[in-house]
Amino acid sequence: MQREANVKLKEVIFSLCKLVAGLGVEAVPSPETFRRGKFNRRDGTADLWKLLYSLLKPLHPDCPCVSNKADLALQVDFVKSVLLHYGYGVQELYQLPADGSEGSRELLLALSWLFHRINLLEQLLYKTRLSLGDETTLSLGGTPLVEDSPGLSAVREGGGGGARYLEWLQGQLRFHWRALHAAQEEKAALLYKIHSLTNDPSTVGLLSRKCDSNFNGSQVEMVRKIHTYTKGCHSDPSISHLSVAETRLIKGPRQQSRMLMLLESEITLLESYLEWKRLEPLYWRWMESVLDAKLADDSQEVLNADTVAMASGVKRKDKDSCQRNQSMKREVDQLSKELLELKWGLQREASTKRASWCKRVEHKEQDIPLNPEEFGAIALKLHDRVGQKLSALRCNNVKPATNTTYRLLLQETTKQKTLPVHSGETEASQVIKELKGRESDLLSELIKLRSDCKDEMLEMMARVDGIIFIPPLKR
Amino acid sequence: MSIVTVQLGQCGNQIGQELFNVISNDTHSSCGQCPKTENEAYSVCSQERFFSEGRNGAVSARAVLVDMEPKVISHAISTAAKSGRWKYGDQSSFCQKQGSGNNWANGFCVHGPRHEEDIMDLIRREVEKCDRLGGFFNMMSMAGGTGSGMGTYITQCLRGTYPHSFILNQVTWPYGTGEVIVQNYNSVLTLSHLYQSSDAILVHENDTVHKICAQLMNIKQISFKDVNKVIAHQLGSVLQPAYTEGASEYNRNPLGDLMKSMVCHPEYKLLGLRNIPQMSEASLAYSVFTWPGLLKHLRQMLIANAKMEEGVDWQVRPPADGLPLAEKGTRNRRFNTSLANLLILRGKDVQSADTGGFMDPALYTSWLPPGVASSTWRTPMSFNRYEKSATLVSNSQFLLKPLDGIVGKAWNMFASRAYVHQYTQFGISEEDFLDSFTALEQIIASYTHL
Repeated sequence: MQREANVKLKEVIFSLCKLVAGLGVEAVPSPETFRRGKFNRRDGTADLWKLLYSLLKPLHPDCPCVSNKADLALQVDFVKSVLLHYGYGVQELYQLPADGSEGSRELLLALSWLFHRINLLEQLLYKTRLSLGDETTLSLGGTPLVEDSPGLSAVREGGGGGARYLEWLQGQLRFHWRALHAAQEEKAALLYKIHSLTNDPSTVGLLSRKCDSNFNGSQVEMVRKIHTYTKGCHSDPSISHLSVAETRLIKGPRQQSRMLMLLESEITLLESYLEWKRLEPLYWRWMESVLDAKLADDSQEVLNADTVAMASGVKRKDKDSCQRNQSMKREVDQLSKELLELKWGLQREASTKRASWCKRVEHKEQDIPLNPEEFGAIALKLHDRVGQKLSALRCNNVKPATNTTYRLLLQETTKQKTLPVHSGETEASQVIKELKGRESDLLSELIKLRSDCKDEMLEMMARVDGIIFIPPLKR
Repeated sequence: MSIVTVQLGQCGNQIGQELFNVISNDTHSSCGQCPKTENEAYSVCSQERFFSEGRNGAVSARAVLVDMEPKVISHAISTAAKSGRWKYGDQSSFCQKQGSGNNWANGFCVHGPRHEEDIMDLIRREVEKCDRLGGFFNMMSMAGGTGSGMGTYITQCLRGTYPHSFILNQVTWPYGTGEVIVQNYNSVLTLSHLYQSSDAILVHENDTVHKICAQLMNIKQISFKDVNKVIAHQLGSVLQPAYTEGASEYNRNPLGDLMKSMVCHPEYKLLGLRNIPQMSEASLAYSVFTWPGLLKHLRQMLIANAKMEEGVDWQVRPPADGLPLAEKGTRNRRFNTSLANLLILRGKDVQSADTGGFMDPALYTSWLPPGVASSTWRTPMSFNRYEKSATLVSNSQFLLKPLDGIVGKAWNMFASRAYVHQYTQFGISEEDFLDSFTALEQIIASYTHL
């Protein structure tokens, strides 16, 4: 029974290793390493650290902790900071030494936690998938949090000249942004041209004919026939036009064999993923045994646990070297402080206002007729007005920022009911409407901030003698 | 990347027509010393930038012509059609029967809003023809009524309708002893308003160009056509394709690149042009130039604030290093401090030209490092039959004196309220005048303390 279980386990781990290798991880540890990890052996630990690092690196390419050097200490740091970012709360992992020599069991537990919690494997599969459509990323919802800008320190250092240099740089940035904007518009216009042209089957024939003269004419004819017999140009009838990549394929038949190879490798990868999914329940059962082993060990060690280690673990968390985590912590602290202040401020305001209102109500009560019907009508009216005012005050829900990729399809407008933006499919006009709404919100906020700033400056200038303040000409 | 040119008023239309002439000739003349691929890349880029092809292969300029009187526009259109190589589009001009009478307020407050829709319609049609809009190039004069008043209004509309586009305004500075008595008012109002909506203002002084014609080109009877030809040559040398540093293709974003290097700070938007060599066609054949000579000359022209090649004061030197900031005010007043410079070199052996002289930090203001402030564009293609040609676009103190002069004269007139009623009757109040004066004083102060 034990040996059968072992064999099964080896099969499971082997499929996991195959999947991970397919995802592009370079140094995949052997199944033996995993097995040894359960017993917290030291020898495979470095491999497990490296595995975690390679799995997490593609998900966080912008984090400054990522480096190309194969420095184990840096990789350990990176893995720890990413786990902290996702909220992994097991203290023992963060107490593991930086040279990566201990804690293979903790690493196994962390790895499985990541599989479950953030769908690690699925995310990596999604990243490496092949896409033939024209795609665009949309970031919807969420308000950008203003970080502590490094530019301010430059101003303090550079004196008067520093401010002007900053203005110069800001101007440069604005021009760069405008050039980018123009390029995006050009891209959209050309994409529209391709999509609308390939909606018509006859033009595809033209495209095919214009391609390489080496290409066999009869094959072109066959392709054309296929296309004219199918509705529109795409084999998928819901998508009736070709994308840029597909058009290029038609024009360059040599690329088709390359595309075929890529598709085949993706199919193998997906097959290995399916295999893994089939064996996954066994993996979780094995993980349970790992967890049991850990708890058994811990119950022995808990008597020896020194509070100093715990304290140092906590301190080490504070010294988390990842810049992003530090800045996020700062922001969260700031927000909670502001929230608390806001709460106390509102309470104070509310109590004073309530006192004054009570007095007013007392005065008014003498005027209001005690006739129940009229009173009811007046009360309803008041209720409505208050409700309106409250809804106007209520600011928009701050939705979390989402960055999703959408495939672009040119379709005739259907008379369907409009779909909400966050669902799988959406219309461009819908997205534009939502973005325009956000733009107007942000603009009104900007105008308010500007006028606040101006008032503040006028106030300051009023205190200084002998200087006239001339605001810049209105834009 | 295409530039839409808006020609406003008499001056703008005349110079615009000459400019397209120069560009068309330059594009069609092949350069003997460059390989064929280079030639082709250059002409294709230039064609896309300035001309659009109609259905029957007719080449029409990407331009909109605007004037209140029909005379100048019809002349421009007919001259263009005569050239045979290019023409103006059939539906790209707008004119009325009666002019603005050199009244800025008339152009800005009356004609502008009245004809805004039609003109913006024409511009919109031109923009739609472009695959990618590279920006607007507005040409006008400062002294008249239509060009300056209506031109300023149209620039404002452009900024409102296309908030993310690059807008370059070319203004012609009137003669110091000009014939329009209110030209100083017009100039003050134009500049102050353009500063808000335009990204960069490229200035040509009539006096300077006149001197160039007289002394360098040896033209005895200088007509407006000669002046316009010189200005068109200078503008063409800026706008024609070139390679920015380290690029392997002709730059597709000329206005954007120009502004990125020159006018990033919102207080400093005035640009000046120096172009050498400039000479009559007769002497062109007998002259040989070297890059070191040309660049040294150009550098001295910049430092000594000289407007043309002759009469350059070679005694002026940049201040020695280590001069304390406190003494900046008493520094050699004849020395011209620059904020940013752009060198455009066209012609033979251009790769060998050494522009190190322009990277000297003494030439520039203290808060902008010379690496950022100085840039160079090059192309091996020769321009307009000059074997070697160097242009310097400079954002420096060179316009300080003329600007001061104009503001002073305008203020003197305003202090006695001379002719102000002509403006108030159309809608420009005295408050607006005061605002404009304030704005210009601010600009003068910024440039003085560069």
